[in-house]
Amino acid sequence: MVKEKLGFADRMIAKVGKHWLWWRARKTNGLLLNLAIRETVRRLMIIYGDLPNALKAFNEMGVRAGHDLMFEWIDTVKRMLAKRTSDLTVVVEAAWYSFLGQHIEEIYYEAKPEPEHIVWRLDKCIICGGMKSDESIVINETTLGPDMNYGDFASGVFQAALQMLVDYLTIPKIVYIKETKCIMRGDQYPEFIAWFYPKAE
Amino acid sequence: MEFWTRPAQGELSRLELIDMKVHNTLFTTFYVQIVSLMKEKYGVEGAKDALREIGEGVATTMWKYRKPKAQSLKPMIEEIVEFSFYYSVEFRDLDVGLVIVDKNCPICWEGVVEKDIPYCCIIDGFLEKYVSTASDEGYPIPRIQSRAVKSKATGDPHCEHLITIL
Repeated sequence: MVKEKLGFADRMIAKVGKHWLWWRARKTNGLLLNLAIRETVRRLMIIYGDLPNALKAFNEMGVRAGHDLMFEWIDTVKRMLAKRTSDLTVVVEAAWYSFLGQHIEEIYYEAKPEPEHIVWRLDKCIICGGMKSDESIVINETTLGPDMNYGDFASGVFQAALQMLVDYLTIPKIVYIKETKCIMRGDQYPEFIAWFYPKAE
Repeated sequence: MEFWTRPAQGELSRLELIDMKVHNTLFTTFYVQIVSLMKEKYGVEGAKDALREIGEGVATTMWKYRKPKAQSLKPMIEEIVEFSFYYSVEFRDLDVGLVIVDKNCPICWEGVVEKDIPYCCIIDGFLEKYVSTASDEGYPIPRIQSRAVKSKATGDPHCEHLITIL
């Protein structure tokens, strides 16, 4: 049975558990992933015409892919799950570390302004690493357009994954995640926000 | 200085990235979607070419940051697989080249089924470009062509890549 909220012991288990999850995960080279994303975006630009449309398509692919990501993970992390939305910060932090081997620098939950939301910020970003000096594909504030950021495929993946988790926990919310700050856009750090909208009856 | 107000961090460099590891699942989960889209847009043969091109593009840039130390073909392939995916492959010799026997394919994860395309053909483009670039840059090895001939995702017990020496 899923707990209503996480206790101190659960949080400690999550802190240690994320290292264990990372340790046992099959790994790929970080640059290889970074370049595979770049090459996928390049191909999507050929198909969809420009960078914003390519990133939009990539985000949608991420949404479809996110279920697979969480499907394996959910069974392992049952101990760190609780129905309280603010406790999902623990899950987000553990998931981020166990998939990227990267600590989230800052993460917090806010009930206001509605809808309730979780904000997380990183120091450096694996997705856009090396991309500012990459002359083969120009990614900046102008080419990104007003709505899309370079890491928005990851938003899609984590949105679907978190939605699956929220459904599993029977929390009546719709999750929407967006990369709200992006180094490629000129921001100092990447920032993601997960909003939890009430599900219509 | 407060972390979020200090001067811009700048981006993570590729030299830093080459020494970093990420969870393999991140790529494999969206690769399913890429294969599906490529088939829809280009048909089966076109999709194979497009996927190999993605692999080639990765190898072209990765080459600049990690050059293999090996000076012959098999050890070089082993080295590339080792620093890219952190596992080992086996080989079977042929008259015209060799076969890479891959029992731990990082692309063909458990549960994925793909009937039309040798699913891990992206690795063909990656290996082919990496090794052929080494050849072009003066390593004492031949240029190669790599083709996935068996793939776990298409129902084979393991993946095999036929390496033809050009």
